[in-house]
Amino acid sequence: MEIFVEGIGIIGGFGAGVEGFSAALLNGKSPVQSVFVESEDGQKQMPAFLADTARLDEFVPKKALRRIDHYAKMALLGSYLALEDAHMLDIDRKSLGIVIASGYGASNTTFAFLDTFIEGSDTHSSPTHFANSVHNAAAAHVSIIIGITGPCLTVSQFDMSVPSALITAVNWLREERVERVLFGAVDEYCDVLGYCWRRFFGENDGALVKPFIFDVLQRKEQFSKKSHGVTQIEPFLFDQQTSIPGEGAAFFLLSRKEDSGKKYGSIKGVDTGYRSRLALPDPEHTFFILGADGSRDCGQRYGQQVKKEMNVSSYTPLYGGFPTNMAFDMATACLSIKEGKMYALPTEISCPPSLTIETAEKKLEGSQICCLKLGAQGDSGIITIGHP
Amino acid sequence: MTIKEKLKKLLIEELNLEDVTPEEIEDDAPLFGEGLGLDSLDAVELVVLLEKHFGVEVKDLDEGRSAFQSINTLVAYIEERST
Repeated sequence: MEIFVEGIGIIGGFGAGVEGFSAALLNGKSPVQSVFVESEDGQKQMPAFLADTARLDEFVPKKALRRIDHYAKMALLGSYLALEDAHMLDIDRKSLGIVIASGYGASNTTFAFLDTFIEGSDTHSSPTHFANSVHNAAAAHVSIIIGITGPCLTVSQFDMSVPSALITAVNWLREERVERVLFGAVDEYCDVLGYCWRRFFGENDGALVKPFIFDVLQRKEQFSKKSHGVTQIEPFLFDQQTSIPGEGAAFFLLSRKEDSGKKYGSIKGVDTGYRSRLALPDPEHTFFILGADGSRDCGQRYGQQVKKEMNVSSYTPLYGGFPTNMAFDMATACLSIKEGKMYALPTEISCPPSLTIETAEKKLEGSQICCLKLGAQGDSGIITIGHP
Repeated sequence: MTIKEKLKKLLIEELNLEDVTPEEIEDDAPLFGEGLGLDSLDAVELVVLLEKHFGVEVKDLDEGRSAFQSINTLVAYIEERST
């Protein structure tokens, strides 16, 4: 039984909605912002891809959002945008399921709650923070605000959260438990993450950073003037740490039948596990989108698994490094199927000659697209999207 | 900043009262139901807010109920227990 992608709702550093994401893919660049990170020498600046949820006002009154944090707002906006993209804002909520993947969960709220608990015990801790601090708070808010009464699940399996959650979503549809599933992924940036990022991955300080830098060369100049830090994710330099933190949400309306006319393709396969030999699709008829996001620990595994005969690309420089960015790879694959072409590689990416990297736009001509995500612990995930 | 001003500012910040300014919160208007429109979860947040920012504990439910009527009753409650 084929499972179709009827709508996509996506937000990240590039903006909100399929249009913004398509523009980033077509232009090969995405705006990066700066965050301030605590260090032993005071605050330091670091690049990050951050998401804005302002468009949520189009769907929900502000008053209804006052107890919803940024993490859940991203999920809620992703959900609405996916329904809107599929022209199904009036969908039957009873036969709609929700499956959400998250690696970090509501990290801002979790640490805010823990801080108040440490400072003044439970008497200083906000009950709203407590309720919002769990990973499945986003799914609960989506369910309540949109009024979805079908089954609701959150899956957290760090780098493999997305394929693991998608397996459940596909199973719900195949066993006809629901008519459609709102499947999505969400992760957020937080100060603690920024602190850890800098501590673990090194310096990236001192540069005077403009709030929105679209041009990669300008960005390099901004971030590297006084620092020796990272300015751009280099997905194919597997032995280097070049990751930039990101956040966002990517949601998909999945169905057993394709009604929307959007033709985002269908899910040909989804798998995750710890097998040393991956069952990858035939490279002759497949383009591969690598989830390599500049993390050296994971990068070394891509170096082992990616062969010369595989036509590979990567778009993580457009949305950043975070556990569930595989859902953004999946969105890229769906848009590529719709457009009938692989998008060109983001600008200024280094391409080692040992790999067969698709740098320019290329027609798909019937080929399918395999999103490949490799974790640092020997775990792997595969999502294959193809023509129905 | 007076206790009243601080209280109004904290109410807006801690309860995320969107599109409300301190000037719009009337001193004698009901905080719950009509007026500001707070609910039972806000009441718990208010208990936390009073202890965290004013060092005032609300132990007696009946006492709390009368104190939570309006900004003026809350300010009186804080002043009574702060001295």
